[in-house]
Amino acid sequence: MAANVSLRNVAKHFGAVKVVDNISLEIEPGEFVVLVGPSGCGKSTTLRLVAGLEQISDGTISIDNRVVNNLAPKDRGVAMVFQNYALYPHLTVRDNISFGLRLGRMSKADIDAEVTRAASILELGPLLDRRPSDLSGGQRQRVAMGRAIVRNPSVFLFDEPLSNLDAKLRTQMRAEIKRLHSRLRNTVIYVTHDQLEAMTLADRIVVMRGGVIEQMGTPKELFDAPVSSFVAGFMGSPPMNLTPCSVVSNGDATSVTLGGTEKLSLPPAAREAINGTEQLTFGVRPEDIRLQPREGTQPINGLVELVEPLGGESLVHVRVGDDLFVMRAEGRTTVESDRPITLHLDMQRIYLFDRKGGRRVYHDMEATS
Amino acid sequence: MSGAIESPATFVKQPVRASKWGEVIETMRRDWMLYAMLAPALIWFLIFMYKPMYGLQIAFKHFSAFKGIEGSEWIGFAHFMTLFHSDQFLRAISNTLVISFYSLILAAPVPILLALMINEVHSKGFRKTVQTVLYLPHFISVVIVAGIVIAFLSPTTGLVNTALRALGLEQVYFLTRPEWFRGIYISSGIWKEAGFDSIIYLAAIMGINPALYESAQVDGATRWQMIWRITVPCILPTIAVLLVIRLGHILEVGYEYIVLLYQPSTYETADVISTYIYRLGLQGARYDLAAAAGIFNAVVALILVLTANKISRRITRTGVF
Repeated sequence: MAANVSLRNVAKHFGAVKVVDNISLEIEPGEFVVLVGPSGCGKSTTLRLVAGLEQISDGTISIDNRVVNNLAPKDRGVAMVFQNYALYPHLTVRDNISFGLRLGRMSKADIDAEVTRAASILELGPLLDRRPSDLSGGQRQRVAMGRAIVRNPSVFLFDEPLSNLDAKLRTQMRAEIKRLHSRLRNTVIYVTHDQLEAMTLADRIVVMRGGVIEQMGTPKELFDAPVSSFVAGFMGSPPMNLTPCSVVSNGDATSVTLGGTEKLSLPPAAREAINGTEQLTFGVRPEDIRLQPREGTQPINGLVELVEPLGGESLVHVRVGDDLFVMRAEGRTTVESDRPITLHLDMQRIYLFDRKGGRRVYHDMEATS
Repeated sequence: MSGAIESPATFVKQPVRASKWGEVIETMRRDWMLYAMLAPALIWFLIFMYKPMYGLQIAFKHFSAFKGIEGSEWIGFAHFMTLFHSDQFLRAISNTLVISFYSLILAAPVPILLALMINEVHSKGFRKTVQTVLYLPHFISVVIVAGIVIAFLSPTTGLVNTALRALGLEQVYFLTRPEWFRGIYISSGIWKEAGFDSIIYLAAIMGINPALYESAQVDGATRWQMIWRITVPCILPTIAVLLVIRLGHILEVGYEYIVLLYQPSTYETADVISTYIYRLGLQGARYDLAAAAGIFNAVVALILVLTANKISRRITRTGVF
């Protein structure tokens, strides 16, 4: 049974330090919400506040329309999966999974049934009599999830559950978590600092910074319409190219100078949007830079600094004056390092941010919709 | 043909051997400061532990101070036979085992309980105060501890007897009564060492992943359940190793503290192997017989240490050596 989760003006202070600063968030039943942000942004603390492992300093947290501020973690109807699995080393997989049920004095037959159900969902059957030390990282993570599943929680809380796994296993477990959510349809709050995990798993992403919510929305909304240079630089891999630029107006034409030398004429809508602002940050995604001219592109010249072949594609790092641009090229690209190159930027998909506050001042939303 | 095969083998072996020694010398030259720091301990062991072993032969001789160790005549296992026919020696073995066993059963759980309790104290200031108060007795000399115990149990001015008198009960001269000795020795030993011994358990508790407790909290475990279902099982390997080490030292009851507390009227329960050797050797000048008792003690202790280490390795996969 999925529940809604509501955070209203929630704050958490440790002495004078505000770790979570007046955040509000409404999560629908069955929704998969990912809290993402750099270290120290308050995402894990927010999760722990929902779990009841930390007391809130201010505000209200409701789960299933019931205020849980003063409820113990066990009474909130949540189950949590920890970053380092938190498996009891002296217990077998079976006993680890049934730990909470045994505390609740459930009958042995019911416990066995629940353990069997979780083991079959997570394919843990053959491992039930092993100890955590005999399991791989991925298997341990599945046991941790099994322990959460048997509690039949209204809300699953995941605190960076994949960060201790290697890249291959992380991809595999990511798919398993996605499958698990499709099957159980419980509400999930998932914390990660990995934007790729956030993009692939979330129904909705909440980007946090300095204890406040910077932006929330679907992965597509955050990718296409970041409200600030921080979100723009955080979402996407490789992230958006962000570079300070100066604005030059000449009669009706307005252009920006990149790398100190390369001039790009801004579209008329951009001219209106920047409204005389001179200190801007220019943004363009690596996907919107091409090697060949197309309609709506403008060229800039640079020097290839590095080519990173990734198999299906290559990342080309190009030095343009003082700035560095990264673009995606074909896997079999003939581009070589230390050679001059002309990049063609899709001017319909550029972003302009106010350099002082970092807020977005221009992007053609129709171009990306 | 054979000569052709042997000669290159010899040629290969020699430089390997030379390089090994060269490596050792090079290591010593490079880390001479570490070896210099090790030297005092090595010298101490050589002078006070290994050199006296030469004198152990007097356990098998009829030792005469005038004839010296070399000049004294060999008498085989005669001293050992004397010891095993001595009621006093058999009583000392029995007392040693009883005192060690009670110490093991009664004293071993106390530091564990203290560590568990200290771990539950959340106020930093109170916790530090408690720890300081508990650790302090360890640093008090046994002579002073014995003085405190004697004063505490004094039949005239002691606190216990004063309280007994106030309650209208008969006063007891505890230190002259054999039935009280073991209790006094073990309980004062617990008071002196339990706090300090709890450090190692506290360190083991500190090493437990805090997420285990948080996970249990989400599962609805009470503090009591967390102690018994998480803390205790997680420090069980440490408990097992320390218990096994204590088992290995079961015959090593320190004589200093007993010598300070006991008197002839309490020999019946207080005289242990080490005090017996002390009386026999230093007070009775029966060096040969005392050496035989000492060898017996050491051999049994060695067997116990080896057995205990083997058990530890089997149970906890760790051992002292």
